[in-house]
Amino acid sequence: MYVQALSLDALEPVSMALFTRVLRMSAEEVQAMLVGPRKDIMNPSFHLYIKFRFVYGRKPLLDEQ
Amino acid sequence: MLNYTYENGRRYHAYKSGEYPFPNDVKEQEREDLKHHIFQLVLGGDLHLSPLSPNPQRILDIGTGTGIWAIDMADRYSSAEVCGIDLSPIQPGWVPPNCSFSVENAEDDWIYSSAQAFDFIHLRALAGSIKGWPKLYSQIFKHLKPGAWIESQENDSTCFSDDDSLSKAKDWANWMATVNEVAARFGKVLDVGPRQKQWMIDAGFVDVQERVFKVRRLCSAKY
Repeated sequence: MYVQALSLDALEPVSMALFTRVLRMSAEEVQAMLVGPRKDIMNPSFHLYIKFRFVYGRKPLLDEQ
Repeated sequence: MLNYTYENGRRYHAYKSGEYPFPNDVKEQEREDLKHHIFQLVLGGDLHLSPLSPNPQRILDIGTGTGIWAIDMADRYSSAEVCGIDLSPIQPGWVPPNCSFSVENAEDDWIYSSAQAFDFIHLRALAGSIKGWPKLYSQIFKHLKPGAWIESQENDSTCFSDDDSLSKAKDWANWMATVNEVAARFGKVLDVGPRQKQWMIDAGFVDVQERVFKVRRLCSAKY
């Protein structure tokens, strides 16, 4: 549920600057483009998953370097 | 530093203007704090997986955002001096005495002396924010003490499904594909999660571990 909220809230802030600056779309065009994805996020019949990755490592000790 | 840019009803950072393509306003800060909560839930309440010593001295949080992870780490490890760096000075003023923040670009050459080497460096959700990942990792390597830990926490910028959901959620799938492509054109790739491990190994880190958690992205009526 939290991840759904995060996805919903991400659509506009993640797209707006990238699409207006790089694709030269207008803000209105970007908003219109987000209607479909927003509906998909709210559709309870879709079972979508995302991977969260935690990667960690160690700098070698001096005698290992 | 506070001369923010306003565009289409959203506020963007001022220092190194244009480098970070996402807003820094209050609405976005709430999203950042929710993200912190989700990462912590995935880890069962923990802030990291690296096996830190009980009394780390110096901890760095790259792209600290609202500073919420750095503040929690400072509370968790009273022995440590926790520094958070970001392009945006949006962190709160009332923080633990062993926590501090500064406005810096992690992609610039770091000016820490060898006496300021860190015991732990943490980066989270930096997808779309970094141009030169290998350079960043080599700077992290240089500024860690021997035996010290690096940890990266990222969610992938692509989804998957065990049934045919992804092929049915066409608008969502198209949006994800477009945003990944445009971010790459902007010069800051979004789907960096799967590449962290190799970048760490290439920078010289050892004992590199990757733990992957599958998280339901979209709410389902059937649990």
